[in-house]
Amino acid sequence: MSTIRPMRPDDLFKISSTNLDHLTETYHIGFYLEYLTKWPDLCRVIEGMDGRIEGYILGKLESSPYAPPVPPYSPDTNPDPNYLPWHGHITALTVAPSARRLGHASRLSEALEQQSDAANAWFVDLFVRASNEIAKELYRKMGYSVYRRVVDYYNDREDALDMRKPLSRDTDRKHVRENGEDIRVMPGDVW
Amino acid sequence: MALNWDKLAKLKRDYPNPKFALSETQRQLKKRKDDPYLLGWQSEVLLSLRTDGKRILDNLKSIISHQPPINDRQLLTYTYELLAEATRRYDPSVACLTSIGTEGLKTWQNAAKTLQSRKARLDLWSELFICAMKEDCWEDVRYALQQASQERPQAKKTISFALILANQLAAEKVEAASSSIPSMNVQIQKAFAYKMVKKAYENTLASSEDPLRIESMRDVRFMTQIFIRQQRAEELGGLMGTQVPEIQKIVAPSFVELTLLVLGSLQKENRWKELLEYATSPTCCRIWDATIQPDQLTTNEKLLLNSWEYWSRIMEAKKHGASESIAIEAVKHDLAEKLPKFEQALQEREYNLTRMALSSFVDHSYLLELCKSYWRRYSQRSSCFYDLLRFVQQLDLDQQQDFHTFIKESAEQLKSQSESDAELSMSNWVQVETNVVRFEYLLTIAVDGPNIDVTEAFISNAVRLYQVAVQLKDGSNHNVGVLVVMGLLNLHYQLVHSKAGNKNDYDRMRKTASILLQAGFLLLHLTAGDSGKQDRSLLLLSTQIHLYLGLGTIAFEQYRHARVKEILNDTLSYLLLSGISQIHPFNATGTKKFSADSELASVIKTIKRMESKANELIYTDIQYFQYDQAIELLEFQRKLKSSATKHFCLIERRRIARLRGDPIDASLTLDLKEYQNITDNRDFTILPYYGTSNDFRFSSLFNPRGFPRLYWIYARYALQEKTSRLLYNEKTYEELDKPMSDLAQQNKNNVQNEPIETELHAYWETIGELTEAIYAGSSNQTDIRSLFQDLQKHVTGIEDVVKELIWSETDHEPGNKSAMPYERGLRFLYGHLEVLQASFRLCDVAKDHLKKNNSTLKGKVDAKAIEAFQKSVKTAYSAIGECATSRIDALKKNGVASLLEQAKWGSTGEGLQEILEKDEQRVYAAEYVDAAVEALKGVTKVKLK
Repeated sequence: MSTIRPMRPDDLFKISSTNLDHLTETYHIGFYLEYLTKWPDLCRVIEGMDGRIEGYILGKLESSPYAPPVPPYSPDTNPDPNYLPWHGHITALTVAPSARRLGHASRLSEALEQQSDAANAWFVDLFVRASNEIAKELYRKMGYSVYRRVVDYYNDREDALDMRKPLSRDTDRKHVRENGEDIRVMPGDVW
Repeated sequence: MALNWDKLAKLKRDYPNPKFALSETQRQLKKRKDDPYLLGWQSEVLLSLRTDGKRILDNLKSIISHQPPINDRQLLTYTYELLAEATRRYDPSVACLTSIGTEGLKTWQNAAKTLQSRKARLDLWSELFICAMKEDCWEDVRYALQQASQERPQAKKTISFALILANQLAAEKVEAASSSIPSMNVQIQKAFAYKMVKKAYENTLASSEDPLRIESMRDVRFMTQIFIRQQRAEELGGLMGTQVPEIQKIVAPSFVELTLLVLGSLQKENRWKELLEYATSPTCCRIWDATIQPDQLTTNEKLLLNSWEYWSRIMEAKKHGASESIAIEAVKHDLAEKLPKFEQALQEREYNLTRMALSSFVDHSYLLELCKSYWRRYSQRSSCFYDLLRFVQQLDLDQQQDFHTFIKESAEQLKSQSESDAELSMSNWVQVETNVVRFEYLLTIAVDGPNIDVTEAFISNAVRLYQVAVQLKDGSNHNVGVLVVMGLLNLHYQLVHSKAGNKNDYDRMRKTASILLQAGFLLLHLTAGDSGKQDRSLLLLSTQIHLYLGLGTIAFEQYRHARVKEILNDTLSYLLLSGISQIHPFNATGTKKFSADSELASVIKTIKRMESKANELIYTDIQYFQYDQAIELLEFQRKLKSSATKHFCLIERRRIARLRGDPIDASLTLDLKEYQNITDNRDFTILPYYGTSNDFRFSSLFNPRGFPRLYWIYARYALQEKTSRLLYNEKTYEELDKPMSDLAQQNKNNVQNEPIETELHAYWETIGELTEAIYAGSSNQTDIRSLFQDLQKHVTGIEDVVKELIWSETDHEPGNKSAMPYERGLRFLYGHLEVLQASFRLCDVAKDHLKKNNSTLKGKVDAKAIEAFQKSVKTAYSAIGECATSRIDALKKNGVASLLEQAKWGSTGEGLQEILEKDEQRVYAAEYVDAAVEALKGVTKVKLK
């Protein structure tokens, strides 16, 4: 039994058990504070019955930093598949090892999707390492599909898979595609 | 011609020493007596020298009345900061500073008059806004906002909302400092904040174009903060529930968040009836309406039902809002009617946990069956133990035994089933067994008066499971390995606190040492290799246990792999650095390079950097101020500023510097503001925990005294730090003496000193009294004489005890005591060295004092007696060095062989032999000897003077 609520700066004092997980990065404090102040609706924690933080999600809302090729943006008139319209992005999602397999990741993602939907975003996306089968499977189950493969994206030259889940604004699912894993783009194509 | 800001900056760089800087200001002021830059600088220097408050205030008055008016923004800010600090320190009429006063603000008004453009004036008010916030002067923040609002700012809304915040915080600050009824001004400011924020809400309802309106969840959160701070949660709930599209459009996506905020606030206000009414109202959740069916619930209602906080608030309200019997009946009804009806609206685990929580509230008659049922469903998950822990703890003894038997049998059945069922993997079975062993720990080890035989049996059982788990190669062996370690730590605790035997019961000492060593070996084994290095919680446990073993270099190596960085430095570094000055104060060289002082300095620096990052977000231009985030960011920044971790680290650095004979200068102190309202941000939930919630032994398993509490800081500042400041003329703040002493006195029963610290407390008290008597010029003859005699006795006692600890040839006999110093031994040696250093210095100070013609010591103590005392200090000091050297020699001679023997000791040693290869043990034993030698070498490096 747990509670999902917005993440607050004070929660940063309580993320030790989640961040000691070796797959979870502990970022500079400025990184967290930027997310918490700019996108407070998209940063959530899941708290256990004892008040411990069992997981959290950090996300943001954004679009490509340049104007759409054909303004205003519409998936029907957009000629550039790499242009990113207004969307939610999952930057970090982590669950403490002791609270795994409880559906926390799904609940946190749903909370972010709900907020992105309310902000009229087209979809929610995220990047995952191509080799991370567990994460890929988790996101697939949550309704995400691969939109494109970003070749040599990570420092160790591993590919990233850009996965997306359309929101209610994308009624015709025009921001997702079937064969995303085969659509290869270079890191420079991705903002 | 007056100086300018750049010239002043250069002068400050050229004269970093306050005494020389003061002479320079005096020299230059003779030529330019009204120069505001020079007057400001002199005030700053005098403030740092903590002297001549009147002159500081006079200087600052001259600056603010300077003609022509000052319009250098840097100088204005500089003057503001100095005036705020000087007023706090030297103006007794100011109990709580919320403004630098009319005269101070006049300088800013005059400066504004000299500016031609609105933009320039807006920038000026923004500057005042920022520096007033930094000084926590919310009246002046309010003033700056009011002035800015008259300059046609673009961000009218931001300024209006910031004004609400400034009023609220200005009122709160005065209210917090006053014990009487809030003044009229406080009430007016709070009423203003409330009315303005309410108006913003009403403007939204009225679709007004006024910039003061609620437009987003950010604004709603801001409104919520003001209402909650004014204890208006009930009204807030009503306003948020208003079914007006303009409001619902904003709040609907955050329905659960807002509902929980309102419920939480009503609970804080103890308004149980209102809480229950709100939680069960149709605007909140309609399951309480008998006509509603599960399929009629909205997504938001379902989300709320799946939130533990919702249910826990309701239970609290029922408990407090009515008599116990009525509350129980009400919850029984929920259990029997509501929960089953809406079962589908809850996720399965949430449903089961809610049912158990409600049942445990009513009585425990159904709880056992529910726990069993939960076990059947979830025993293959790691979280099962933690989910059930709170409920199993509530069962009575018979029920707990019943549960224990049940889970053991169910695991047995599963084992036989797994042999025939390919679907049921070995890893599932290991997980179930791991949960069984965790409960075994809870129910048989973490109880009052645990039995040594039972604990040994527990360890053997866990070792057997470990041997199965290790074959899986999926990391599950770590979870079981931790249980073995916890069993060993418990056994160690029991042996240490066993009443049998006496102080010099070497057999018991050897047993306890062996058990701790076995735990250490096992932890090194578990953390070896890639998967071990990924288990950072385990690495931190290993860090702590190796400190307990007195092996600083190994502890540091383990800690390094745990990658404690950024915020984790504030919350977790205590696991390595608590008391490190008494375990490994000197730098280690070679392959296991380590500098405790550098690590401590790095933690302090990181916390300060994080604080400054938070400052960047708070102290922004007036038009970009994040009013909705300000309260939370200010609180976050405050916790970093006054972080206890910083103080623990600073005290350790100062102790290390003294042991090394390094000077204690300004770099080893903090800003005075950092000593206010010290806050403990440490996270104590990281070390493995399977015990009961009232298991008093928990923290003592990892460390003989547990971890130092906040009160320890006060006690330390009040005695040892104060005494050292006087003796060595160290840089610290005299004005801390009284508040720290008061806090230490108020909390003297909670200090929880380490055992050696307790032993040494009397020495420090005597040294402290003598030091104060010398500096205060005591006229009481007998006191000083008798205090010196007391100290002489103490020191002679040290020599006698240390001589006992010097390793002799006969000690090498097999089965005799261990040459390893362990944490306790190192603390003993370094702690006594600190006392001897202070005593020696005290003698020097007393001798110098006696040379003065007007020495108040004359006739109370003579130089000869002091010389004699100093000699005995030297003798005790030499004995400590001899003790360390003798143990280093012993360890080098047969340390490895002795440790390998200890690793095999007892039934637990036998178990360990099943897990660790002989070669591996030899490597660990050699590493232990090297680390122990390194730690003891530090003892020999301490200089008396």
